[in-house]
Parts: sequence; C-alpha cells; structure tokens
Amino acid sequence: MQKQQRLSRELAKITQSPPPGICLSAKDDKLNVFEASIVGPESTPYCNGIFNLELMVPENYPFSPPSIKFLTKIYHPNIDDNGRICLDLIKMPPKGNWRPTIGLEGLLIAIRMLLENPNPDDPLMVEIAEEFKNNKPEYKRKAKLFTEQHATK
Amino acid sequence: MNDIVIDMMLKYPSILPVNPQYTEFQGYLTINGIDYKLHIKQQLEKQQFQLTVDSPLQQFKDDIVNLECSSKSSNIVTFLDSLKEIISLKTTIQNNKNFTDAYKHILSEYVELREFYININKCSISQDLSLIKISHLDESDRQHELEIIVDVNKLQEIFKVHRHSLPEKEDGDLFQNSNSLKTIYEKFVSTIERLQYFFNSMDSLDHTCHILDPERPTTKDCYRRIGLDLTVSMVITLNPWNDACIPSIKFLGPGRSVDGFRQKVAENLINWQANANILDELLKLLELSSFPAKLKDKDKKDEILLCDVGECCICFSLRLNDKLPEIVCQNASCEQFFHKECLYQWLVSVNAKQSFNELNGQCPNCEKHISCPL
Repeated sequence: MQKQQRLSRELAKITQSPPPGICLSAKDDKLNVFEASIVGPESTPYCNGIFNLELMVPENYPFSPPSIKFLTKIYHPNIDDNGRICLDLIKMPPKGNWRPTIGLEGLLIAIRMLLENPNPDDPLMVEIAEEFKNNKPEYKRKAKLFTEQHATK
Repeated sequence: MNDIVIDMMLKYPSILPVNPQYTEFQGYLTINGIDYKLHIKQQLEKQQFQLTVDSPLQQFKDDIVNLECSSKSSNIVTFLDSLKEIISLKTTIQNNKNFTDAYKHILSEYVELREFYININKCSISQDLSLIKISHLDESDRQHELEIIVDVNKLQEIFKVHRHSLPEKEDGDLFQNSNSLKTIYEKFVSTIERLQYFFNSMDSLDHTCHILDPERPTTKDCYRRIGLDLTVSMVITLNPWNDACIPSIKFLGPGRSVDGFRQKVAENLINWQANANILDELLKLLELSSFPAKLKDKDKKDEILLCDVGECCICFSLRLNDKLPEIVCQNASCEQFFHKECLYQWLVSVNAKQSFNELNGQCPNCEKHISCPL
C-alpha cells in the first residue's frame, strides 16, 4: 500500500537531482521493475564503464528490500557471475542491514561505493577477493579488462 | 637535594634523578640538534658512573668506556659536561647540516620568478619557505593554481609540484621535479595554453547545458554528465591532451529512450569535426536544435526532498489512509516521524519483541530504541 506512493516520490527525487554517477528509471508502469546505470567511479578500474543493473521491487516494499543484480558483467570480489551482489544493506535483519529508510537511491549509492571500496573480507567471489588482497595489480588489470570488454558501449 | 643535583637540573633540565639517593639519572641530552636518551647510574663502591649505551650512542662506545673509567673524581655535572664535549666533537661535521645555500637558492629563484614574470596573477611563499603557491589567469580569465613544495634535502630537484588545477595525464606526472622555479612555471603556462580548446569546450558546456555531474566542475574534470531530458543523460569525456580526439559519449537512462540517441551517435559520429565549437558539434550529433535549458535557481529552491519534515520516513508521505504520522522517535538527534501503521509493519517484519501492549524495537532511522503501541 505504501509502495506506490513511496516509489513515485523516490523516482521524482532521483529524476530531479540525480546523485553523482547514478541513473534510475522505471521499466513498467506498476513500478515493479527498475533499471539503473552506475558510472564506474573515477580512479578505480571500473572508471569509464557504465554498468547496468536491474531492480525488482517486492509488493511489501519498503518493508522488504528490493532485489538488485548487475546486468553488465563485472570483475569484483563482491559480485558474482550472475550479477548477484553481496551487500548487507539488501538483506533483511538480523542477517542483513536493510531498513525502510534507505530507499533505491541509497542502495545505488552504496553499490557505487562498493565499486570504489570492495570488501574482500566478505566475498562472493573468493578467488577475486584473494587476488584483491594479495595481488592488487593483477586484480586491477583484470577488472579494467572486464570493464573495457563489457561496460563501455 | 644537594647542590650538585641542583646544578645539574639547572644546566641539564631534561635530565632528572630517578631515585631519592641521587645515584641514578634519566633523561635526554641534546647535542647538535640530536636528542640522546640517557640512563646513568653512579656505582658507589667503585665511585664510577655507568651509562647504559643504546643504539644512537653505540657509535661513541669506546669513548664512553674511557669516560666511565676516569669518572672517579667527578660528579654528575662534570660527567655530563665531558660526555657532551665528546659527542659534540664527534658529531659537528656530520650532523650539523647547513641549509643556508638551499634557502638562498629558494629565495633567489622566487624573487627572480616574480621579477621576470610581472604578469603572474598571484604568487606567495610560506613563512618557512616550504610551500609556494602560484595562480595564473589565462586568456579567458580562468584561474589556474599551482602548488609547489620545497625539499631542501634534494638540491638538484628542490621544487616539487604538489598539487595543480590541470587535468591529470594518464601516462605519468605532468611536472618533473626541478631546481628551477622558472622551468616549472613555464611548463605550467605552456600546458595551460595547450589546453585552451579543452577549457573553452568545458566552459561552454557548463554555460549552456544542464550539468548533473560533477556537482562543482573544476578545471581538472574531463567529463560532464549532461541532462538531455527528464530521464536520459549523457556522459561526455574529452581527452584534454588531444584536441583531434573524438570525445567519448555514453548515455544513461531507460533502454528504449537511450537506444534512439545511441543510433544517432552511431550514424552521425563520422561527421564530427575536431577543434570546432563543441556545442554545435554535439547538437549536430544528437540532431537536437538546442540543449534543454539549465534549471533556474528558482526551480532549485523547491527541490523535492526524499522525506520532508513531519512526513513519515517509511512511506515518505504525510497522509496514509488519511492518518498523519503520530509516532516520533524519542532520540533527540533523530526525531523522525512515523505512521503507526508503517512502524508497526516494520517492527513486525523484523520480529520485534512484544511486551504488554506495545512493540519494542529499533528506530529504522537512528537504530535507537523505539516503541509502537499495538
């Protein structure tokens, strides 16, 4: 019941003053599916890339978090081959940290920050996390290559 | 306290007795600008002083042993005097670095720079001569900044560019360390001249278009995110170092609207003319007659807030089924409003504890305790 009202408000806000490097738009009139793009943050291997994401908003939003996944392939310790993201904010408490005050914009900002600062201590891709910790140059090289191959269209 | 100890404290204030018998002392002895940590014991039966020798003093070990042996007739003050003499004799040459030449060089370079380039906009040097700031106005009255730090330990490359307002070069640093301020400044000015097309292009974009990113563009930023309509925006990245290079253009927004723009770019990009007015070229590229106007300041004032004061910060609205938010978080630094219904639903979904006739849990905004009547 709160969903429609809240999402249209969120959408109006993000359209009027979009946060740096983030773009969000609804894919259907019922506001169930959204598409988002994140511009790779500067001075990271994701720089110059544009990453597309899909957000599915559940019926009982904002009491449950939306599910978010990357459509664009990305080389990152916390994002797997299918685009699933390991982020506490998109899981329900007590395991996660979702709160109804966060909102789609907040999540997208958090995901962009995750690109800036990967969290290798809570990895989804163990090998990439090991590489991130022990062989940064190699991680950067591969992440940059992935960005060039998949995210620069 | 005996006279000798008082003498010692007057002469060597950073050394103090450790025990009430005044046979053990500890503290620092400063010689030629270097602090040595000391621990001295007077052995009464041998009537000798003994000095604990650790790393910085190790180099004078032989002298110290000699000194200890001949310290029978001395007291703590004469012992410290002779110790100081020994060390100061041995260290004068190697440790007493003379920076006079370096400072003279810095000052003469600085004065010369100011006299030679009388049209420097602003130029200043910090009191300890460690930082030089220069600002330069280019032909379009844009201000460019340069900060140089001084490293007196390296005479050959005493000036090092610490920060500058020019875009970064991908392959390494723009400036090399140098011992000549003029060289650095000339490089700075010539680089600015070389970048004029880039600066002009960026300025005209900033002036005409609705810039979403960066929030406050600087001369360092090589990209702009430009709003094209309500949902579509374009990220344009210029290569400041190569005017002939076609800018990289990417679109953000819902797929169906973006595809149209992408197609236009794919068709028209071959007609892009380098070095021409970037606005004209962009309009041609996107087949637009003009760019969407900038938001007026007036519009910015009634910017939508995600959640206004007094609105429920779960459903982001004032009225829900015609009820107003009635619960306020008791934490003084939070004080957010909630509809009873919204808060109840949230607390239930996180399995909050029920006691008597209320639910107890955490405020979704500040995580402090909050309760909701049933």
